[in-house]
Amino acid sequence: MTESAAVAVDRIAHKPKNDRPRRRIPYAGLGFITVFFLIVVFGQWIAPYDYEYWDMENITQPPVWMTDGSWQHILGTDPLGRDVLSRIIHGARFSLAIALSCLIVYGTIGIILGLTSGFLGGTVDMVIMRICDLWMGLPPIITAILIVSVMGPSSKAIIIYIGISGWPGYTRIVRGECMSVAQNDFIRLARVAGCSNFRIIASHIFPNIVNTLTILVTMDIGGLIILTATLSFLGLGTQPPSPDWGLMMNEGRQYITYAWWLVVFPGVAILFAVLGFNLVGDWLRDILDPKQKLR
Amino acid sequence: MQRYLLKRFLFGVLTIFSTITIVFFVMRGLNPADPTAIMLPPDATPELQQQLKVKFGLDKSLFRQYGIFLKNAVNGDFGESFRYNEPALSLVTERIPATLQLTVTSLFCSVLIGMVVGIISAVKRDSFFDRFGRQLSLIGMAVPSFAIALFLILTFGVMWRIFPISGRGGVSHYILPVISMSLYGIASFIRLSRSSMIEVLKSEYIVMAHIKGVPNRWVILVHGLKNGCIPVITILGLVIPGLVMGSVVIETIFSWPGVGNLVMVSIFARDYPVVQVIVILISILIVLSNLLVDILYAYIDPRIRYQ
Amino acid sequence: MTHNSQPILELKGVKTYFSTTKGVVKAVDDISFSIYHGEIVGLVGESGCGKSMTSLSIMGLVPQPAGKTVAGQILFHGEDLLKKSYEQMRQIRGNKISMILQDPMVSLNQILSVEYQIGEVFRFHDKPILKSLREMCIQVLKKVKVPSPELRVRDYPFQFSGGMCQRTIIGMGVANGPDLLIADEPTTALDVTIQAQVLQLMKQVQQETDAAILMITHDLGTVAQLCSRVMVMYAGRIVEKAPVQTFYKNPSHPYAIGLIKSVPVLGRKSKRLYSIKGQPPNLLDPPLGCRFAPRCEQAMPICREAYPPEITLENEHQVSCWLFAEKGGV
Repeated sequence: MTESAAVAVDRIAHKPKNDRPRRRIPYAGLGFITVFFLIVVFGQWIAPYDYEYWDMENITQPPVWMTDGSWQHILGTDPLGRDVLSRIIHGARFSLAIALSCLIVYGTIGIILGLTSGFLGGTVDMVIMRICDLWMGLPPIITAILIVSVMGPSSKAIIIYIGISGWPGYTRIVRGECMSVAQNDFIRLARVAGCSNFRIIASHIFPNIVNTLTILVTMDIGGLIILTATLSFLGLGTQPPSPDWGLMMNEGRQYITYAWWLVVFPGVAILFAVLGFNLVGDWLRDILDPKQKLR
Repeated sequence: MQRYLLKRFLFGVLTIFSTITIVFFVMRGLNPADPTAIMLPPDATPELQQQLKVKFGLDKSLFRQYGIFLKNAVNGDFGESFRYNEPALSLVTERIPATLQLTVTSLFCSVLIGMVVGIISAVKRDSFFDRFGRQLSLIGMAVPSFAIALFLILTFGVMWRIFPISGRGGVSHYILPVISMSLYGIASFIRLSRSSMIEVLKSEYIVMAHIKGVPNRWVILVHGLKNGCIPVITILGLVIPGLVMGSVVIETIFSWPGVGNLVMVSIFARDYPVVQVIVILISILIVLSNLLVDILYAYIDPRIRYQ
Repeated sequence: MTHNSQPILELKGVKTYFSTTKGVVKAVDDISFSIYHGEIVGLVGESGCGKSMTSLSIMGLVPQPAGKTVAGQILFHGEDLLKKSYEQMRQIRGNKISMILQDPMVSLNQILSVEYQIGEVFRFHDKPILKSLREMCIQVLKKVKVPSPELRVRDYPFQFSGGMCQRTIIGMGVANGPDLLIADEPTTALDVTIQAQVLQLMKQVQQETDAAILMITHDLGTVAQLCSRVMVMYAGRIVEKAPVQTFYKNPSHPYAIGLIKSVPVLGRKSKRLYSIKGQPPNLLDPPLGCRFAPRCEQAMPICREAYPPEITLENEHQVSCWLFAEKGGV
C-alpha cells in the first residue's frame, strides 16, 4: 500500500518478456559451460593428441578448411607441430584448475576473515577493515610482478598472487552479508540457547550467505580466466609447454602474420568460456538475489 | 567534509608509504637473484661483482639501503638505473606522457561512450539499440584486452593494412591501442549505467518531475543522471588500477614507449631504482585517483557532505 | 448543490488498459465524472482499484509502453487532453493541473536542492521572474508555512522532515495557480498529527487559490473533513457518487455501505470488527456484470449477468447497482 501506483505499474509495464527469471534461462551460457565442463572432465579422451606432442611432419599447418590443412589437425598446428585443438582442450582443464585454486585461496581467506570481522565486530572488525584498505591500496600489477620476480614465473606464482590480492574484496562482501544476517532475531535466540560462537557462524550464518557466495563465485570464474590468461600472456604465469590459452596466444603472437589460427582459436575459447560463466552468473544473481545489486 | 577528505588524504600517504616499503624489502630481500649477476657476463670475477655491488650500494644491509633510499628520495634523487646510465627518475618521467596518452583517452572513452550508450539503452529499453548494446557489452566483458588487441592487429594491421601496429606516432598509431584498452571499460560502463539508470528511472521523484511539467530530456539528464552516475563513480575507483595493468599489456603488444613497457623489463632485469620510481608513481596515481573519486562523490551526493 | 458553470474537468468513458504478458489489465474501465470549479471531490476505494491510475490518466503520465488510455475523453475546460501533444500536456502539467503523491520523502530528489526543485515549476513554464528565482522559491515555502524559509530553501530534502517535504510539494503544486490539484493519498505516509496539519494546509491553500482538488484516499475520515462530494471506486469503475452529507447519511451501493461499516467507531463495542468478505477481483479478467457481485450480500441473478447502469437517486446522488433499477431513471 505504501508503494505508489506509478512504481507498481512500472513493474507491470516493464515486466521482462519471459515472466519469471526461471524462464529467462540463459541457454547459450549454460551450453557454453556444459561444453566447458565436458571438455574438462573428458578432455583426456576427447583430445586427439597430447598437448606436448610434437608432430614434426606437420608443423605450422593451417586448419582443415584451408589449403594444406588436413583432418589430422582440425585446427592446425604450431611451429613445434603441436595440435591446436588438443591444446585448447587441455587448456580448458588448466584454466579451470587455476581458477578454482585461486578461488579456494582467496575465498577461504576472505570468508574466514569476513565472518570473523562481521560477526565479532568492534576492534577486531576495525583492524581487519584497515588491513583490507591498505591491502587494496597495493597496485595489483606491481604485486604480481613482484611475486613473480621472487618466485619465478609459474602457475603457482599467479595462484599465490591472485589469492593474496583478491581476499579483501571477498572479506568486505562477506562481512557485509554477515552483519546483515546477524541482525536477525534467530541469531540472538541461538545465543540465548547457548550455542557457541563457532556454532552460530557455521550453522546459522553461513547457510544464509551461501547464496551470495554462489553468485560471487560464478561471476568470478570468468574474471579469473581472463586474469590468468593475461598474466600468462605477459609471461608471468604459466610457462611452456603448458597449454594455457593466454600463453598460447603469446607464443602465437610472433607468427600472427601467417599463422593466424594460433592466436584466434585460443582467443575464441576464452571468449566462450568467460561468456558462459558470465551469463550463468547473471542468471543466478537474478534468481537467487533479485534485490541485491552486486558489482 | 573537510575532515573526511583530510582523513582520506593521510590514509593515502600512509598507503603510498607502506607500498614503497613493502616493495623495497620484498624486491631486495626476498629475491634470490642478484642484479649484479644479471648485469655481468658469466665469467666475471667475484671482485668485479663486488665492485659493482659497492657502486650500487648493494653491499650494505637492507635497512641501511632503505634509509639511504629515503634520504635521497626526499631530495628528489632516486638513483641511477642499473641498465641505462640515466637517472631513474628522468627515465621514467620521459615516458609518462606516452602512457598518459593511452590511459587517459581510454578512461574518457570508457566513461563517455559507456554512459551515453547505457543511458540511451535505459531510456529506450528493449529497443533494437538496447538489445544490440547489451550483446556487445556481454562480449566486451568476456574477452581480455590483449585478445582484443591481437584480433585488431590481425584484422586491421595484417589482413587489411589500415592501421600501423606498433610504435607511437600520429593518430593512426593511436587508434588500435586505445580501442583495445577501452573496450572492456566501455562494456562495463554500458552495463553499469544502464542498470543504474533503469533503477533510477523507476523512482517517485522522476514521476514527480514529470508531474511538474519538466521536459523529458531534463528529467533524464538532470534528475536521472545525477542519481544514476553515483554507482558509476564508485566503479571508477576500481577501474583505474585496472588501467595500470592494461597499459602494461597494451604497451607491450604495440611496442608503445610508455611506462608500462618499462615496468616489465625493469623488474625482470632487477633494475631496482627504476622499479622503485615506477612503484611510487603508480601508488601516487592510484591514491590520487581514489581521492578524486571521493571528492567527486561528495560533490554529487550532498548526503555524504553532511555526515 | 447545483453547479452553474461548466465543469473544469470532465471524464467521459475513460478506459486505461495495460498489456502484460498475462493479458490485458483493465485498470480503469469506463469511468465518467465531472469536477467543478473550486470544489473538493474525494475519490475513495481500496488499493488496486484504479484510483491512482485515474489520476495518471488525467495527467497523461500512464506508464508506457504497456499502458495506454484506450478510450474515452478527458475534457479540461472543454479540450480533450487525450488528443494533446506531449508539449501541450507538458505546459499544462504543474501549471494548470498539478498533482501531489503519497510519500513525500521519495517524491523529492534527495540530491538536488529544494530551491532547484521548486524553481523547476517556474522555469519550465516561462513564468515571469519578479525579483529572483530564489525569492519566488522562498515565497512558496512561506506560503506553506515552512519555518525559516530563507535558510531552508538552500537545503536538501533529506534535511527536511516528512511533513515539511509534503508541504513543499503542496507549495510547488499550487505555485502556478492551477485550476485542479490532484492529491493522491497525500497523508497516508505521514504521522497522524502531521496528517492533520497537512490536511489543514490543503484546506487553506484551496481557499486561497480557489483551485479544485481531487482528493484520492482510502480514508473516509479525510473525505468527511475536506470534501464536498465523494466518488467510490471499485475494480476500475465508479460505483457511487454523492455529496458528502448524502453519502454518509444514506450510502447506497453495497460496497460503499460495507466501507462505512468497516470504519471502527470509538465507544461502540462489538465482538468483531466488520470487514467486507472476499477479495477484489483480478483486473486481468474482471467478472461479467457487477464486479462487486461475488462479495455482495444482496446480489441478484442479474448482477452477475450485466453491468448495472448508472442510476440517479436524488440530485447529484448516483449509484451503479441493480438494486436501484426500479426506483429512478437512468
